[in-house]
Amino acid sequence: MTAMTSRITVTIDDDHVPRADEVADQLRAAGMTVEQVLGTVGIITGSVDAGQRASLEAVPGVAAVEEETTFQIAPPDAEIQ
Amino acid sequence: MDQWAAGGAGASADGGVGVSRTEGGETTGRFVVVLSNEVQGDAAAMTEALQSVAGVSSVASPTDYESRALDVREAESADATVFPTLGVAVLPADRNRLASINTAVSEDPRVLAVEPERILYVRSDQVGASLEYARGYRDGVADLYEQLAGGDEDAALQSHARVGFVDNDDFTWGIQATKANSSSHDGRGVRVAVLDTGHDLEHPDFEGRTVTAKSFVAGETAQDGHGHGTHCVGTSCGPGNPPDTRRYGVAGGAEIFVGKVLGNQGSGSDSGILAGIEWAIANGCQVISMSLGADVRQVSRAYDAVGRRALEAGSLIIAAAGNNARRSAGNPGFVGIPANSPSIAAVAAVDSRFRIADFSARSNPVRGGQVDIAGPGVAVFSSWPMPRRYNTISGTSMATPHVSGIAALFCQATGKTGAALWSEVTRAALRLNLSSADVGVGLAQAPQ
Repeated sequence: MTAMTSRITVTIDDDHVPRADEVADQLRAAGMTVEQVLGTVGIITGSVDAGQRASLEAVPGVAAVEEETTFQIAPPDAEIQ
Repeated sequence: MDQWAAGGAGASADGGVGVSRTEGGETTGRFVVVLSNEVQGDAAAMTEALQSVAGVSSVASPTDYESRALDVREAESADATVFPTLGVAVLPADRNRLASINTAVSEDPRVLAVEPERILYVRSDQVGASLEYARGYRDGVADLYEQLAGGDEDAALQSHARVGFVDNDDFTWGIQATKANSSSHDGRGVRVAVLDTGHDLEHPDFEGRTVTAKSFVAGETAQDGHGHGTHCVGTSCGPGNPPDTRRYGVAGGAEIFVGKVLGNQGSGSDSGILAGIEWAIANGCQVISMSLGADVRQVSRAYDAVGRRALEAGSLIIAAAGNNARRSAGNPGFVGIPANSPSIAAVAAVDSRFRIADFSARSNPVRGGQVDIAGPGVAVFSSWPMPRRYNTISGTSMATPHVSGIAALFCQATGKTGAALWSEVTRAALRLNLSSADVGVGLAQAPQ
């Protein structure tokens, strides 16, 4: 991964959820490195170079392309978790 | 059942007529008697009840008049005035009559409550006094409402909370406050997924339980190397009768699915969490508990779509509202991702006196960003990885699995899933005297 690459979460629109694999193929063709195709929830995760992100949004069946959210809970000895 | 003791707060010592100054404001010396549904609406039955419990002879009622409005002079000359539509009567109470009414409250099912009639008037000259008056009026009406609408059990919970729930030998305070201890359901036949830091798969309190565990964190097994996950599994699905301590788990009969989506250092990301949700849905989990969040106001399109698709598949996602508030410092915080999704339930934390926790995030104005419900989330005792075995910590993370366990009980009790299940959970919540922006519909309650 280069510094220009960002991890993304792609949401498939309702109509295309049953064809998640096809959407994934088109995302790959548009420059995305696909890591997971989650066919039940309709999500594809992976990464893309910053310059190619806009082309992913144009892929048919893509409802949204978002930066991956990261989560961090408090350490085990914290009073508030 | 509430009795009103002569000489107690609000009643003059001689139980006689006349204005008396009390903690809750001035009273008239008359008493308001609340009658049961059995006689409400039936003026004759109400009159008969009053005659038998209080010995009144003449009764005035708005139904005596075509206008259905009360003739005040006639009412003043009568022993009692009944309001059939309300199921309420007002009568002067001397000491003997008060004694017999108080006996009736505990013995006659037709009498629900007796309270002193208050003098209500507006004071515009003193803001402080006016507020004090209004507060007393509000509390009085709220108490009466709780007794009438919520039944005696809700009123009992609220009054218990004024003193404060405590962990006792048998139950944690949260198990008591959610009435999980008296529920006839244990979540049997329901699958609950806890997406967190994993679980201590060797914990003795879970011996013999069916636990399906999977890690979505690269290079780590589902074994909990943090503690947070084991605590949340304990609160949602801990045993109904743990061998060596008090009960801390809500749904002790539920089948447990542990999805490790946060690493032993407590961090995770969309790819693991969304994969965990996919796995939970594929395994038919009716409840998915997620004590995690990111401090991002804007709704994630991904989590909103996933929450909606989960509901359609019969899986309800319940998430922590977040701990980003510092209310004592004037910062109410906000609900973040994923709990701010319209399709995902957001859980706030209250303490053992039903006060909003200092850290508990307030509703976020984006669509879906509201707090939906509250759970016990301050000083929560639950399981922890061995050898420590137990730990007491606070957070909306601890409130969330209380609600998830309760959802599992409702799923068992009603057979409902998805949005219909969520509706059951919210309808049953105990309404609190707190802002809905902070606690949503109130404190989650177990089905009985």
